[in-house]
Amino acid sequence: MISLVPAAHTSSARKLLNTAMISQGGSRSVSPFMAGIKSAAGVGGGIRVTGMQKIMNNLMAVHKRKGNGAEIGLKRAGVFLLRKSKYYCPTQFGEMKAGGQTRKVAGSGMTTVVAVSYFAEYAPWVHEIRHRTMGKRTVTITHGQEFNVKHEQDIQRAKGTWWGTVEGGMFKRPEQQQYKFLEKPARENLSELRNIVANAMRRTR
Amino acid sequence: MSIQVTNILGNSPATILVALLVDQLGICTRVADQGDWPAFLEHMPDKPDECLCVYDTMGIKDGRMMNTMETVMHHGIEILLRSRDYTAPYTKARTISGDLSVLTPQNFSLLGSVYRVYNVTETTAPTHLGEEAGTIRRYYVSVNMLFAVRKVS
Repeated sequence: MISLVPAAHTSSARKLLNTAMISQGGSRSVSPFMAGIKSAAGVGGGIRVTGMQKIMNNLMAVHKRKGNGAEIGLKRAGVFLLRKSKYYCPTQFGEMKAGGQTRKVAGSGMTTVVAVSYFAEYAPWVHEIRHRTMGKRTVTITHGQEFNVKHEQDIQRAKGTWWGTVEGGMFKRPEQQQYKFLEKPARENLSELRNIVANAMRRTR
Repeated sequence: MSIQVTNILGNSPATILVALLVDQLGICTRVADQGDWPAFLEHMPDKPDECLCVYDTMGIKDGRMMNTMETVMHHGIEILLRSRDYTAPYTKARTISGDLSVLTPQNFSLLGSVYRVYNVTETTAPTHLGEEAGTIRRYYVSVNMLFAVRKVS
């Protein structure tokens, strides 16, 4: 919809627009580009086009404003995704969940990059790996409801003891917690994230 | 009256991808063969040190085809690689994603069913997860993908 015309290509864009405007005065049966070629060859000569600089300036101003909208939208989408992600984030002490953050990491306007991340150094392990080696055994790491079912008896036994505390770790977890706690909401809410950015861009006039 | 037809896969996408990697592309080997880079499914045991495991993850539901009324799904896949050498799993992950990215639509059979693989899209670059905690120094690399496949017969 918006022509992203970088400064280096201004002259070529102007030529293209010239061609299109000249064609409007030509025959309707001829395509605009063909008419432009004819005019360049001398058939439609003598037509003067004015106000092109103003059009270009306006286009560049719109581009900048929409870029600001895109930046705002991406930041909002980052906050939205972080909130959705924290819903699934596994917790024991809550350090990882508290270390979730969203921020602009590079660029501005149309080139903005917003990252949603978790600060804890073990976060990639929790997010990506589903097993743990314990001596010669490999144990599947469970979160949320999976954890509750696997350790149902242990949780019951640990009630009222040190094992049932946060340090002991044997307490009932919220059902939705799971590994892939960032990837899952990102894929689930893909269209919603796009809408947030699109709406923010639409609101800037 | 509308009828929703969804292509139901007879096997999980991870199972299909393992078959693709082993039988069609020959990038890794079957666990029973005891060759290099055995491909496990959903569970990575302690031995061997150098292996890979394919997991099913969250996919994306992409809407419906107008002519066949079929819902298009892009299935989520995670490939986790492990080795005692730091560079080996990364190189292997690059080989796998490189071979899968140039894959053209093709049919192949698995357990009596024929599947058509359309494309495999890498959603993250191979990511080093670091060294495994414990006595043996082993390194992990993971790569995530989206996998478009349908059952032909």
